[in-house]
Amino acid sequence: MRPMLRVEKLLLPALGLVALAFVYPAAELLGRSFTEPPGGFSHYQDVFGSSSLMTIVGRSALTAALVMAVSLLLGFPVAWLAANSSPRVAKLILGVVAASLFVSVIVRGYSWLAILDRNGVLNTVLGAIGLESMQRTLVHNRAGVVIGMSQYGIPFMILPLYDVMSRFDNRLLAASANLGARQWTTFWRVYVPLILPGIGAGCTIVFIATLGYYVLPSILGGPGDVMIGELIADKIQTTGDWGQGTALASVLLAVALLFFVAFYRFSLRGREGSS
Amino acid sequence: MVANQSLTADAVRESGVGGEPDIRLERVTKRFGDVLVIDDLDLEIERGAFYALLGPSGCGKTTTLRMIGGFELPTAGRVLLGGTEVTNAPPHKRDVNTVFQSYALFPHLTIEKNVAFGLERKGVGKAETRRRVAEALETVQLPHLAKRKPAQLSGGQQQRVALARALVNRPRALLLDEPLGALDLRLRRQLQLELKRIQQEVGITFIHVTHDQEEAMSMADTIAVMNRGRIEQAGTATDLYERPRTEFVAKFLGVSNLVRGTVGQANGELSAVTTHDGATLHAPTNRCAEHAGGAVSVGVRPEKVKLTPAEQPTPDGANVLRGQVVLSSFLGVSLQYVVRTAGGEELIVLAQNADGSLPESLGAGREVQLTWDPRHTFVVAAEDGARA
Repeated sequence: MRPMLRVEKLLLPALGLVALAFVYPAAELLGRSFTEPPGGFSHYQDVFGSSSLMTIVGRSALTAALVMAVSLLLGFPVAWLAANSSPRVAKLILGVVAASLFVSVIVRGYSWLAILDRNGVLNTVLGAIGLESMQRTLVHNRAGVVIGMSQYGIPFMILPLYDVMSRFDNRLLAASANLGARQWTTFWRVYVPLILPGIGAGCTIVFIATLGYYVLPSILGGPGDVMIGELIADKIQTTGDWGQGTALASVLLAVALLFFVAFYRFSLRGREGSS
Repeated sequence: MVANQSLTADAVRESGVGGEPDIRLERVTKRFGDVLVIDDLDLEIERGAFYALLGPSGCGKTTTLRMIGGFELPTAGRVLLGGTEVTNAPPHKRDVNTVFQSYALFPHLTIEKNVAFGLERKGVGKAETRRRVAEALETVQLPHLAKRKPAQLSGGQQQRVALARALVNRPRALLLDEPLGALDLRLRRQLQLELKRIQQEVGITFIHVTHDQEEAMSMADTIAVMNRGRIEQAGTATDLYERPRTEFVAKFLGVSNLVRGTVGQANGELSAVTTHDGATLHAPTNRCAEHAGGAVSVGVRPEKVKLTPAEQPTPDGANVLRGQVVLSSFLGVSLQYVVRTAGGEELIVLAQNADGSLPESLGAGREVQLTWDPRHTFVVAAEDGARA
């Protein structure tokens, strides 16, 4: 290894802090999943052996995937609009998107409750205009979780998408059209491959953030929609079962890492060779 | 070379009979908002021609090219390709391909895939695609880089890939928008020759937009000089250089010595032109007739003028102007003199460097005479002072 530069040595304290704040707790968590009470892999055996626990892990992954898809579908046009508008309009759009991040998720959760509950704003309005048949209760169920989490996730999807889209060379679209490609072909063969890194980043952030999210699912979900984050909190806070709680948390971390690596490699394919 | 020959043969077979105008713009006008960019333009280009649109930036040459390619639609007028009207057809419905100044290669695809892109869109079979891609890369001499990504290539190489990507589709015409603009001078000169060679080899019509007169002259069969959304003059390089028809062309293409005057009496093949300070010059009558009695600029190219000391006799029938040398400089291949005439113009004279030194008798401050053959004199309508 080459000797460290002076500048690099100056980074050591910061790196130490990061290690203390992130690496140590994760290691501690992993450690406790084996030692509390001591039993080797027994907690993991319990987790993987319990069909009810595995259902919750599977449900969390599925919900996260759904939220990711909804965020991509809804965030894509907004990001595209911002990337292809004048700088002023782009700033306005991104400002509105970012502003939603300033509202506490608890406030947002209860706002959704007020809007979507059985006697909420939406159903009241539908009833008032005579559309009783369309009235639905969209909270205390999976729909509530997906709606709430998507609102949370969309900004995290838009920002990385906007980043790659605003750097996209629009002359490539003309080149593609010139070579006989229809707009649809140009979109799939030229546009999407080149913004893939942004799609990958957005999906990774939204998926991982949703996977272990606790607050919104507990406000907006129903009894049948317990997510892994809620379960971990319950194990540790209510029953004091540190061993199984930390084992579940480690499984969650592993799923998140797996997803991260998979998406990283996927989006790298698109980036290769571009500069 | 075998591949190149078959590409040529195919192109010729598909091109049918040459000769008739293949690309036509009829009374085309283009406005962007209030700005008139193309002003009632007519243009005809024959199949297989190397046609250059030359002009300063903002003259409308790129807009003209983009209207042929379908990237801009005319405000008025018609665009015809091979007799079929395509005025409002989208780019992918037109049988022309553009080589962009930025190359616009797809960064995520290999060179091979870039070149194959157009053929795949047309649904050409795999084997056929592979063969034609190899052929096109052979033509631009880059077969060894087929598997690379664009970012791994130099600017000159990327330019050639862009060319191959367009050529491989065997379009009716290839539109080149300042294709060499991003390259350094040495590479430019080299690629100019190569472009010319490729054009002759494949026989496809090339329409080339440039602001570089030397580039246009060295490559194109026909040059259209554009100014303010109109074609000032179109013709061969020789036509434009030796017989410019407007003051703009005379000044834009090469260096011109222009003197204000009035066309006078015709006397057989030559007509008299009286300069603003009373000197009499002669110019071919056929270049004067349309300007009879009007204000003109009479011009001659610097290399056509002979500079002699004031006391020497002048040949009979030559045009003569008197003046004083302001500056003489040694340029290596030639000697350049700046002479202020009796009428106040500063004219430029280029002489061959035959003796290896600047002659003493023609040094700065000396009284001299400029003589030239009247046949080398051209006459153009005088423009108002603003642009003179």
